[in-house]
Amino acid sequence: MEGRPRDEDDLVARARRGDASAYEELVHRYQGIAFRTACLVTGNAADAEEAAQDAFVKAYRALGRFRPGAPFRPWLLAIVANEARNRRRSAGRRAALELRLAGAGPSGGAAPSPETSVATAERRRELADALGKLREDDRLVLACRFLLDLGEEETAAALGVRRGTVKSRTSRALARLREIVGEDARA
Amino acid sequence: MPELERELRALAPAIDWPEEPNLAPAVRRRIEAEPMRRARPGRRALVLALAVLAVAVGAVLAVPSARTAVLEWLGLRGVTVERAETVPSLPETPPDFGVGDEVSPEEAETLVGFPLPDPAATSLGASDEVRYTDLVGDGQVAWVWRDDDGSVATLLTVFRAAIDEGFIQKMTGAEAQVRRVTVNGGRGLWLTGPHSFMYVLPSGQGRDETARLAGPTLLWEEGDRLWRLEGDFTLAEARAIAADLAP
Repeated sequence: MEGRPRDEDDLVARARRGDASAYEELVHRYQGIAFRTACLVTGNAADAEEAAQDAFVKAYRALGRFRPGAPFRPWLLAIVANEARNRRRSAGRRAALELRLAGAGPSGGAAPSPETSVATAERRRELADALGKLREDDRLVLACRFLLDLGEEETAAALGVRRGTVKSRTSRALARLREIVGEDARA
Repeated sequence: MPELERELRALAPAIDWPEEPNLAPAVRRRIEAEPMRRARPGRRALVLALAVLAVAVGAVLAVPSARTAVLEWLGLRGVTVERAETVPSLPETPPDFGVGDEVSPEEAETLVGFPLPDPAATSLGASDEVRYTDLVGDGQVAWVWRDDDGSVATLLTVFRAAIDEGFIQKMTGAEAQVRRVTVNGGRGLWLTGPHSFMYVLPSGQGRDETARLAGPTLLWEEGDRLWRLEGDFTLAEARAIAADLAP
């Protein structure tokens, strides 16, 4: 994983030896991405929180099987997504996460910029709605790749598929999204 | 980057995600309450990095252990098939033939953490034993059917295979037959020839953990789980059982 903090290997090694503080640091570091990944799968925050928490506990107990020196995040996300899928399956729920956009007006967005216009905000709303209309595997692959900014490898781990499947599914999903929203006319 | 992909990336920071919970305190409480894996005295040293499922044909089993040449790969999630000139020799089988301790069906479901079907509803009828081991994947459940003389006639196992691709490897002897098949609309492999389930210890050595059965084996994926049925079946019979086990 590019940009992987150097001390990650050390934290993982300490956690493997049973150092709970080291593992707590890893939880702090990755709970955001773990929770969001789980949200995308379960479709709601409550199930996602439980899935992410259970996944961190399971990952800790499974650290003996973790290959030292390998990136921790994709391995963790595979466990998180797996927990989230199981939770959704046992709950019998299939609802997709409703993507809410920050702020309703033209100045919305976590990082408002002078270029943000009403048209941009509308276009975002349109894209978010269109994502919700995609079939689940298409929506998940686009969300992992572009909304969570996961690499192909991590997306493959989270979705439990091969890397080649991520590539082909991404291009298929983009084509379907394009059918719904078209390219931005202003582009 | 194409426009649509750029737009999707630009959408990311605008999304108002549900508020992120702080999981660390609860996780820490839980891991301190139950540290690491449930340790079993004497087995701790056997925390296994990898499992190998070895396939060999008849007398080939007598061939001394040899380093194997990997000739071919055929993959299912959680299982990798390597075709090799020979397979490692098979040491003695432990009393529980590596599928773990006997448990009730309810315990098995609790331990493995996902719902289990009842194989009694298939043509296999009620099993003689249900067993559980945490040494395979996130835990594996096995159903065992025995002949009158107590030998294992049929073995059905399931475990979750999502975490590590290639977690289990299946090594086939040069004469073994491996076919890709469709099972319940998903991927499967049909292997003929007696085989043995093996773990690879962190040292890289293989260790036989199960009884060898004479029958062919059907491996198939069901979501993130890997099923394995071995016994005296034709492919059609094995597929019909798999269909009855499907949720």
